[in-house]
Amino acid sequence: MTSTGIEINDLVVRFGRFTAVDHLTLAVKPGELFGFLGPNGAGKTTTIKVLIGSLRPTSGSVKVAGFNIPSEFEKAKPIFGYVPDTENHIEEFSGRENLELYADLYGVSRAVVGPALARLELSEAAEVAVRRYSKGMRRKLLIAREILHEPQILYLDEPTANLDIHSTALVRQLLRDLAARGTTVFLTTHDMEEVEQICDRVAILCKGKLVESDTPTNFVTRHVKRIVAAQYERNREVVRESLDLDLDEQRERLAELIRTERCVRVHSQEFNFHDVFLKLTGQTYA
Amino acid sequence: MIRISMLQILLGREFMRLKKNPSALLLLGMLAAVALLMATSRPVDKPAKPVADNFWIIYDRETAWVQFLAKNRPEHPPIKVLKKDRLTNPNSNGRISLPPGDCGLEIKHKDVGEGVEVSLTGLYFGPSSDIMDPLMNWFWPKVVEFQDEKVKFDYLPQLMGGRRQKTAEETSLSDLVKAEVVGTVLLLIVQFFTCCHLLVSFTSQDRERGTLTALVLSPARMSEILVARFIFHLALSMSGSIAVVAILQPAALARPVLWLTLLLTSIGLMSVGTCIATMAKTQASAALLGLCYMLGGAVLFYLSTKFTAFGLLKRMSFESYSFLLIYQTLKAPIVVEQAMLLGMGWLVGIVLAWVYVARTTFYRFGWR
Repeated sequence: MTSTGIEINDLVVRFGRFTAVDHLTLAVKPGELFGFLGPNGAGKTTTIKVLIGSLRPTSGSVKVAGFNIPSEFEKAKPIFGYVPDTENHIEEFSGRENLELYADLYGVSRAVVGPALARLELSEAAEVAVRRYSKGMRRKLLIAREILHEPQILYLDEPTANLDIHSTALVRQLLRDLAARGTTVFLTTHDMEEVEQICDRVAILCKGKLVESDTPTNFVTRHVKRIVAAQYERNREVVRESLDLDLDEQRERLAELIRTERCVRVHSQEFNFHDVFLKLTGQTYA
Repeated sequence: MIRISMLQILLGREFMRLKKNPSALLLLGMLAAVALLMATSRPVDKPAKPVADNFWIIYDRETAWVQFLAKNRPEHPPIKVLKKDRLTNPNSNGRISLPPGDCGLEIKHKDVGEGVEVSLTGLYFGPSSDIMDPLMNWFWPKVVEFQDEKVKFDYLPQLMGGRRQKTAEETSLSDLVKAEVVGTVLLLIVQFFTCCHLLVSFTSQDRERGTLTALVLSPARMSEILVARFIFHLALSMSGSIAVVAILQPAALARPVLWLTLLLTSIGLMSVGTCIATMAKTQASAALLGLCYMLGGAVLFYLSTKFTAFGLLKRMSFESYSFLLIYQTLKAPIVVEQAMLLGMGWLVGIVLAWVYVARTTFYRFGWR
């Protein structure tokens, strides 16, 4: 075992002339909930495919819980779980039968199946064939399947896609609990709120290159603008004005509004992770 | 290293999946029903088979093994051993004429290099060369007993009166319209359905749904997944074959050559299935390719009866040898030497070639 859960060193993946991952270096600590962000085609899924041994890297090295991937892939298999972005259940089997098969494959008691189903609120549908499940239920069943063996490392590709608000909260809480118990959680998502709420650390990938990696708090500190919104009366109408506190002129304007007692309300503007993401990846709103 | 416990889990998965697949079970049930229908619709009173009064072994040269045959003749059936010139009618242009009701085996020797090539011509009367069976059932084991590696045998039954019976390669389906033919066709359909169609269908479905990736990422190794899959389809094929043979021709259940042929055919068809599952991108295209393979084989069989050029292609397909061997073993027990004459060697060779092609294709493209 090494000190890190996942170590990616100078990873390069090329498909012909196209470079999907370009000299990526990253380390994820054990028990960390790590968010992997990036626009479409940034190389997130390609990186995960390398991590789970499905894709051979062009160059660079990858270590998962101390095992070199892909050379020690077979040794690493029992210690990780992978929730793909598309469901891959056996449609004819019931939810319970699907989970029992994987409990057998991982060599854990079938007794863990019931609690796993209950945790994802699937107990009532346990005996129903998966082909009758909704998209959200399938997604939850997939997560239930991958936590059966209590993996050291859990990879999730868009884990809360197709989930309603309640189920999203359920899954987020589950991921936080897993991380608290020492599981390294590596997730890709487009949901900025999710990143802010649950991730310990975030990496932003764009065109295969690592743009920035830090904690959400540091991102906020570094990228937040010191802007306040002031509402004041003018000709018996309430007017709203944004003022940048880093600019002397606008700081004085705020002071004046407060001094003349015309100001009705002053509040700070919330940090927007989405804006930071777009700024860092060089994208703009449509 | 294959783990038995893992194989058990994976086999359980395959059987459970089949249990939950009504269309596959329905087709297997239909095949058994057809076999049952065939068995119950057979005429109860079969016409009595003609029996030969005497058997003759006629030779052109008195060699050590001819002497051995003469010395080891059984009491029954009665066999007479004579040199050819003592039986030939001077007016028959060298043709042998046997007494009415008798059958014989003509042995001709030809020196080839250091060895000797022996051609055997079975001389029989009646509707079928089956009448020769009592003689041949004694003769072949004796050949084995007196084995000389430098001797090569070539056997051809010939209807007395000048008309020659068709050889194995020339035999077409229309010549063999009997219960055994239906049994043979049913067995081949069972083999194709279980070993090729289902293998291709289940594998491409697994790949399309991503369940194969999920299995590969679980502690199960790819080799274990492959072995479990092959064992499952082989077990299914053998169970189906046992059911068909038990219903149609129970006596054939104890014929090892039949099971060897079925085993080889299953392996051949699984190799074909592996190639199709590897090359086809979707389940629909895989199913179509499987169907095309079966229909292509049927068309090839038909064309080979019409055009000689297709005969060569037919000989390159292992199914043509499987067909003849299954047919013959359903009809009567055959010994290994007879099986070799009917193309067992070719069957083994072509199946091994398919296994090699499947292995190479799998390692080149994989199933993921």
